Amino acid sequence: MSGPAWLQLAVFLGLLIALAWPLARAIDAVMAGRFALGQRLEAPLWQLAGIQPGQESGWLRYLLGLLVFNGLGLLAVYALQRMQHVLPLNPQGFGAVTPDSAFNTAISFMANTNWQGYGGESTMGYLVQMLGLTVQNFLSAATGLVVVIALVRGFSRHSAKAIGNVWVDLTRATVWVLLPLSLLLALFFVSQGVIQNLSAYLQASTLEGGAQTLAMGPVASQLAIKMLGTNGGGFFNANSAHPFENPTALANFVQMMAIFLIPAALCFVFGRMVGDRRQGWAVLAAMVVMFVGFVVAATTFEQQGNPVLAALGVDQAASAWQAGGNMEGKELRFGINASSLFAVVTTAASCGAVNAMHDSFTPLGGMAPMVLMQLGEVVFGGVGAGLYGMLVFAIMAVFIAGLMIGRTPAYLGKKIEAHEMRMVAIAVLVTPLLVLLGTALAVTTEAGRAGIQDPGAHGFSEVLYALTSAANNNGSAFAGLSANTPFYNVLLGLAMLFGRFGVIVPVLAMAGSLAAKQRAAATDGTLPTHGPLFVALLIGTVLLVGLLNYVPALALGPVAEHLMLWAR
Amino acid sequence: MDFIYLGLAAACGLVVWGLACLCQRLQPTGGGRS
Repeated sequence: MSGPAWLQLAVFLGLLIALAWPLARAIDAVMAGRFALGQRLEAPLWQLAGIQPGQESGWLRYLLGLLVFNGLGLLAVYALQRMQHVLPLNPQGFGAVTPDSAFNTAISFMANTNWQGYGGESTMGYLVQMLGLTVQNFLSAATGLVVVIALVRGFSRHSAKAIGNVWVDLTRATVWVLLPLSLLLALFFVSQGVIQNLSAYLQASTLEGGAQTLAMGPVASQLAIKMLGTNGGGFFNANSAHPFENPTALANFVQMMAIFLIPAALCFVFGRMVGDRRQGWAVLAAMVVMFVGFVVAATTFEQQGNPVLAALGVDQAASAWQAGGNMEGKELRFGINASSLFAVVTTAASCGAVNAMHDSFTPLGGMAPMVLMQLGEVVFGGVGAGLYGMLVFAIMAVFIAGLMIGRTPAYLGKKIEAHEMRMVAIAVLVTPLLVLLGTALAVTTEAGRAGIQDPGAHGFSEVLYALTSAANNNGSAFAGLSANTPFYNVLLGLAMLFGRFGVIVPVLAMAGSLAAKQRAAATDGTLPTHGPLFVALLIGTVLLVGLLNYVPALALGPVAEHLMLWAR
Repeated sequence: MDFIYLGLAAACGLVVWGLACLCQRLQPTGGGRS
């Protein structure tokens, strides 16, 4: 990696931690009900809705609330798309979205995935973008946030039957965390040149005398929560590679920062809630170490360039005149460093926004984002989803350590017993199952193979990436796969739905069982979970358990393609 | 056609709820209810 790339990474991480620390304090106060102004403003809402904010519930009722809430969200987004042609704020007169695409998109935005089989500016009117997709960006992020808060309450409470009031938590996460941050960020993006209007599309004449249609729309307001909520669904088809959605290098940097901001802050919230801030730092340290490793790998492979072009005598070396490396599919405005960093950030988190085409990355450069998703997106991860995924791995790490030293495993004073390990097993296995079975189904059926653009190993990578992205709720696309077909819309829709709730269910079940346990004091024999040894153990567990499931599939895709490319 | 897709989504919801009930049954204390 070059000097500027290291500098960019250092500034990024330094600023991230500086911003996440105070935000964690605010999130902790809001979710614990210590935000006095908020409580006063909430009171009439509770009265209107007939909710007793002090009445908390067990995990099953908490989950039921989430399922009803998300089910209604799915129904609303589906209905808006299907009735788009008769709804206002549709200046381009787009017709109703097809049922299979509407099904896929409704699940996608409910599950915080934002996989997009459609092209935003050629499919969705402004009302659907604002009332359907943007609203769901807030609500799906709030869902992830409240699940992790419930899990952390499981650790911090003892002998308790309740893990919180789902309606109170969802309201506070949306209104006092996500909305204010999104408002500030949207204003910043407008200052950078991101558009925000309800105009019909403009017709422009190019310098060559041709005609060009310029898509318009309320982009900034959707962009802010797209990043902060780790949603990632672009207003435009080109996502954050579009100049109206990512106009400047500063906007690009802030977009990356926004993706990681809440997931990083939640690590500190975790430390605060369990009464030992070192625990939050330990989890964050594991995330940072893995993140830096993947940034170095992706940037190095992209900077290495393409051997086929090298054989043709193309100069791909970095110099004062050019960035060098593999520039296919990258914005000249951002180059290798900002594109590779963005790709790693967006797939480490469950965002899925892109500022470059991952399909055009070198085989191993493209494998880096794919592997990050396959780890379960626990390296910062999605809002809430990243931390609860990492805590699942932390429980597994203490269990493995317990087996090695022959003691009953315990994490944060809570004994890890058979039930917790069963829940961990479900949470860890559900996504690889969806990815691998889904990929196998796609490459062995005519309908699945019909969507593949490139034959051979690269085509396999396109399918594997799509299933990986869907089941892990990332939403980024490798491109090259024609996925807006009934087959892929249904297959990926199911992968997104079960990938989301197949993990949330065991996590909340664990929250319930942990909350009911006594919290034992640490003794000399307790494995410390705040030091470098545990950080190393946690990283090892994530890499081994997360990655081993996918090694054969990766060998058939990106690894085979790399060997074929470099053997020429 | 809409009913097929909405029915499919509802069926998925029921599967998720079934998984939740299974997790509840696996809990040794049967705890979690308030």
